[in-house]
Amino acid sequence: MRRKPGALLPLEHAICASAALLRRRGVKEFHGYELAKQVAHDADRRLLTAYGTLYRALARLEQMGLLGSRREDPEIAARENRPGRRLYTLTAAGETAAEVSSAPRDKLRRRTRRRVAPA
Amino acid sequence: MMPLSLRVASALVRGWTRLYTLGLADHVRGARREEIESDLWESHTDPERAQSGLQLVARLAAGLADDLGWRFEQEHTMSRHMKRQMAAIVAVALIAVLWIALSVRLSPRAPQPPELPRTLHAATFGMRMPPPPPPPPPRRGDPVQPGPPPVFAEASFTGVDGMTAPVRVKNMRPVYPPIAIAYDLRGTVILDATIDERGRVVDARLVRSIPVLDQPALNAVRQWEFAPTAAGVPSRVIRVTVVYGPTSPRDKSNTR
Repeated sequence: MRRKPGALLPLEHAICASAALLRRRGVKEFHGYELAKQVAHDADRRLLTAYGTLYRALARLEQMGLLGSRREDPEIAARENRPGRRLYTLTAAGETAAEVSSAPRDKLRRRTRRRVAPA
Repeated sequence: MMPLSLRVASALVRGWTRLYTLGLADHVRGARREEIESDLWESHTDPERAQSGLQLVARLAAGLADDLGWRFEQEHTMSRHMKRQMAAIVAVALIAVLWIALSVRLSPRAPQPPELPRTLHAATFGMRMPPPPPPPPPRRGDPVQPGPPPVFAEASFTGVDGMTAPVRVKNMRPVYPPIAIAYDLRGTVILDATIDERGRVVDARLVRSIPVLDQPALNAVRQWEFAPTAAGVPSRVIRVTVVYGPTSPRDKSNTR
């Protein structure tokens, strides 16, 4: 998908908005699967975002400075007997982007409802 | 116990991740594989959202293009990094070459021997070469540059076939060519000269030849003059030995 200069792609909007929502719920750091689940929940979709699409978008958002990330302490992962996680945080810029991006997303939702709704 | 379809789907996801991260930098490859592994683990252990093997495969298939795109971006980033390294290496090499060139240019030059002329080269190695173009004629008003004093070879002669050597009345010493001196060409030229009854050299024939040194010897000997012979003796032959060597005298006088 071609990006307009200075604009986020719909998936990037969705990730920022979901991350903002998680943050408001008190989850400061979240891993990729958690984000994918939240995005699917917010979009009311059953299927999670594809692996390649999700992690490529996360890498892009990190490069843009909207997300930050760190590798989880390996001791914690070892203690819980699971693979190590990469934990993401929403930056201030990401939060702003989430607020700005919520308007067009709502507009899109309303338009979709109008199409689906019977005349 | 995980269902077989889920295990197969997980293996597919792992296998594909290994495939498209092959050859990338260790930290990039490791981070991506760890992230996918973590995602798989979370999805398997998530009590709220149990996923089937088919869903995992669909999630994998939908992201194939992005996986390849991500891989391409990583390679592009790597190549840019390598390009930067290459540019730095080239810049250092250029600076080194410039520095060497400048230091060579600024340092005083050692005297170089003159270039071996083609004719001399040909004569030395027995080749036939066309004669060199004549030097440009001096212009009027050009100052005459005084050259270095000439060096002469030592020439001696004896009678041939038991004849006594005639008395030489005019001597001309063979010139040691500067080019032969420059290239340290040494040797002995031997020639037989025929003298007529009036004491003039009428013929000169080389017995031992050194290509570059022959001509000066012949030129000199042909100018020699001897005392006339007694009546009835038609001609005499002398053997002339011309030695070109390091002890050749440097003298302006040619008739010593």
